Amino acid sequence: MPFFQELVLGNFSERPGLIRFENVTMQYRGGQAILEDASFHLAPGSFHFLTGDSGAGKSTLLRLIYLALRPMVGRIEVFGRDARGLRRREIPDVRRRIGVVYQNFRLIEHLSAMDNVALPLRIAGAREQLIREHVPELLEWVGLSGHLDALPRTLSGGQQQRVAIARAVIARPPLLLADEPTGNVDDEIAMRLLYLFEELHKMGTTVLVATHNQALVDRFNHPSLHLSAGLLGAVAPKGGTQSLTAARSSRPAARSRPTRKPGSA
Amino acid sequence: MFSGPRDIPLSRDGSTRYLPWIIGVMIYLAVLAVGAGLMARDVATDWRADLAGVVTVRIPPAVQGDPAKTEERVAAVLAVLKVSAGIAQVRRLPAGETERLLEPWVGREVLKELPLPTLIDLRLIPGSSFDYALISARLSEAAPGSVIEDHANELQEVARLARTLLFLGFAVVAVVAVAGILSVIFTVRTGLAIHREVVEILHLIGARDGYIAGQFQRHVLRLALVGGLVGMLFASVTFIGVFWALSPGAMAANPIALIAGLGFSVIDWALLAGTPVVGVIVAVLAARYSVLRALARMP
Repeated sequence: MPFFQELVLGNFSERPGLIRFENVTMQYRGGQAILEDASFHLAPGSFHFLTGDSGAGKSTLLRLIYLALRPMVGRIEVFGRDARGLRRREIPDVRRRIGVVYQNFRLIEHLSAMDNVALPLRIAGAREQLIREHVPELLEWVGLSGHLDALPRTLSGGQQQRVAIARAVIARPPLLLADEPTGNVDDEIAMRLLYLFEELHKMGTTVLVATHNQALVDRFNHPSLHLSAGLLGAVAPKGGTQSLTAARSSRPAARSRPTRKPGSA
Repeated sequence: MFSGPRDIPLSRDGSTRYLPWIIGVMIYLAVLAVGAGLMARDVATDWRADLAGVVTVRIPPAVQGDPAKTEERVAAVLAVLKVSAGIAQVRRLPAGETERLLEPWVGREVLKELPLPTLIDLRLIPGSSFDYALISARLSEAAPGSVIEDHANELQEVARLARTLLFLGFAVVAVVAVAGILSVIFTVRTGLAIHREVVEILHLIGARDGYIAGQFQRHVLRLALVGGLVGMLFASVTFIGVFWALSPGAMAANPIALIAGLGFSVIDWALLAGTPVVGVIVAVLAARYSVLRALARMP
């Protein structure tokens, strides 16, 4: 753990509010608003689901967090830094602190499972000896110890997903984003994946899991951010024991008003 | 220099297949241009040395063409030259030789009628203090109307020729460099387009632009080195072929002596050997610059 913190995270003892959205609106050119006037923050060490139907804007919200998109309106703070004020050369440092499990995995096809998982460490300049030590250990943890040299195309969907998860967490990022991580796996594997995220959460990682699988969300005692037609609302965990992270839209929460009024974009 | 991450499978796509050949041809042309430029410069320098060491004194014939009086004037001039400093050799051109030189220009018939001047060639001691003004004055005194010609015009012509050849050499190298840089940029851009997905993933994982550019740079370095070696090899073979064609005997007998006889200085040889090295460096820098420029436009 100390190694990773030195290598990738820098000094994280003070951990500011990890992610903060203030009145963020995002709209692709010529289209409807994907996200409208969204405000919320993710506290360090929290676990949130991001729910909503397909096309509700979950991936866009995640892309805004990992700085692949810039908002049209509003302010996004990532690790206490205003995203607008980040210079290009500062962006990699921020991204190294965010592990992302992409919806379509985005593994590099010609690299083995081992090399795919090793990427974040190589990029951060880790020694090969350390990579050879840690990567197989993590792949074993996700149940892929026998597939170190396998190319992604020779792995099943579930196995590729686990490689993607291992790559997202190998550098122990303080923030883990997962975009529909259970979309391609059966219920049993989906549960195992979420337990894996729970483990990381217990180790101090802030987790945001985007999913449209409400049944799965209901089995865990974590708050949700719900997106519907671009509007963001907060939903308390089913058990109701955990306090809600502030999440609001300037309009009423999406849950209470799931459809947009005509012309509201 | 060659080791480093290779996350982008650049050697597996066809975009860079022809780059070594393109760079090879460019470096071949550049080495030939530099070599030819240096040889032309040496030839021009030799001509200048030959011309610079020679001065001609022209003595017009005596009035009414009295041969005895003309001889007196020539003798007076020779007497002055004998006591002047800085002259290695004095040679009076026989009258027949002067006529032979002029015949193609004015024709035999006219030549008979012409009062031809007497010409005296002086070979100067290299680096000596031959005083043109003083000797010119003395000669005018000894034989009025006699003139020293120092070949300044011819020297200027040769200097102009040398400059033109040098400029042509530079122009060829510059054109080759621009064409080479454009080829590298085009190849690298194609590579970026082919591997855009991988590049994007690397970016999202936190790779800096330099990390990605480094992979392109190392790839182009490997290809450019192959191209550079091939280009240099073919250029060497061409030079040897040219020497052989110019003087087959000397080349067969003692090629080293012939090449040493080129009169190339250490700097010249360094320039020749350095051309492919500079070519490879330029290719690598072009690759780096072009990747960084393209990446700056990506998210």
